[in-house]
Amino acid sequence: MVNYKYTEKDKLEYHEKYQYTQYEGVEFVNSYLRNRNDILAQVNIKINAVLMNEDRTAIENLLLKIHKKHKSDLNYSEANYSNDFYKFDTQSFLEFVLIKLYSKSGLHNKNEDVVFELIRKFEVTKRIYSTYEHTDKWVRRGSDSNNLKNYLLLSNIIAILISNPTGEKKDYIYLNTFLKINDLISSCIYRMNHKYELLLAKVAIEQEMKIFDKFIKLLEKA
Amino acid sequence: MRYEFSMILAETNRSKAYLQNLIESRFIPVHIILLIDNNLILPEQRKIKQSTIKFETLEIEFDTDESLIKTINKHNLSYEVVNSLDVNSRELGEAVRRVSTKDIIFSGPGGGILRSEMLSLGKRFIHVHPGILPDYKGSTTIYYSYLIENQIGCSVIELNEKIDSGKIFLKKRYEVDHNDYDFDVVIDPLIRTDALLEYVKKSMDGTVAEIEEGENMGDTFYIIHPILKHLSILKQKNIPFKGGFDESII
Repeated sequence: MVNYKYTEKDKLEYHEKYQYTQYEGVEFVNSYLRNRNDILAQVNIKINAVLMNEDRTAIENLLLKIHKKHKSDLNYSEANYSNDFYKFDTQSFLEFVLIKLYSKSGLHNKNEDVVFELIRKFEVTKRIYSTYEHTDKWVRRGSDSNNLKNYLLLSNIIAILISNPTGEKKDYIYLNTFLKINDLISSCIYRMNHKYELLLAKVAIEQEMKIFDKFIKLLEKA
Repeated sequence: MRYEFSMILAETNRSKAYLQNLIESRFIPVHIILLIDNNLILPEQRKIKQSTIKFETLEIEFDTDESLIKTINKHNLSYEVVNSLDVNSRELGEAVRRVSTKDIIFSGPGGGILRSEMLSLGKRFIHVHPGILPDYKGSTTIYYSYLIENQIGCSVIELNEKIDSGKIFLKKRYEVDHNDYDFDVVIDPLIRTDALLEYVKKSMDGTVAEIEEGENMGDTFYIIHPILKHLSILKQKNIPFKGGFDESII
């Protein structure tokens, strides 16, 4: 039986370059689906242990708490993309973007540009750092890339951005990153014990499976 | 003035396809710089059977068992060896400076990106990108374009400091039959060779011209995830995938 090996090693410790991967037929795709099913089962067990009597689909409550936390924080509106907007905390920024997307209040173009830049950085370095600074381009500050929340948040954001794919190039660019980030998340389930992380992981993997189905249907029509 | 060119080659199927077919078409490089690291086998050196491939009007073959050195010696070509696969090594830079031709056809190890020091040596580095530019910049674009548009293509460009954004001289699209040919080690080198031959022929005829600059346009693709790669290959092989998510898990 073909084994989906891309979640076996902790991807925060072992970079995966995905270079010259071998073709293994339909069974490889089946192994990927089995892998994600297994990961979800593990996440659900952990969530049940952590949430106890709380609503198991408490993502909205989680986001409400995040929103309250950010009420007085820097508002990443267009007006702030000036010479003063030179540095941001990645987790804060991504939480802000996720809340905006969930509330369907829309993202302005510059926020989308920063999200796309983070996707590019993850694709090139396989890392998301805790702080970035903008001079004539975005550069990372500091060496901390082990905050799982950043990967979880970016994954959830991408899930919303491609929730209704049309088959355009950008859909596939986002999907490619989504698959890689979720490999990383799946490889780090053992690290997660807090409901914040577990809820975001659950949503990320569930959405991945639904989005994957949508892409399969698009390809069948093509 | 007769068009002349040199080459930078690493021991890959693509380089073999290039060199064998250029010679076959009587387009002889003035000089070849061979990048060799005896301690490393490139992933692109996967062996396949000798292949004569025909799809659509394309009929090109190359012998994957014949090493570059063997081809070079067979035809008494001028060459030198650089003992490094680093495409920005000091040694390669010195070899490039000594090359007498303006144009150098570049076929280094996959993923090797020339930096500004190399690009500012007064040479024009010609590269065949396996994707129609500027739409498909970046990596593993042959898979993405097949997945998205059911076709593949090549662009012959001059390398510059931005990835896949140099002057474009030629673009060619190819329909791909449903078959068992490997994208990486068969189809990719064949279509790139076909495009390269056409570029060199046009250069010899004096009919090549810059089509467009693709600097600020198009999308950049990153190394394809194996799942998307499989979906592209399954599509190319006409193998349907029916499968899905276990909803009882939610």
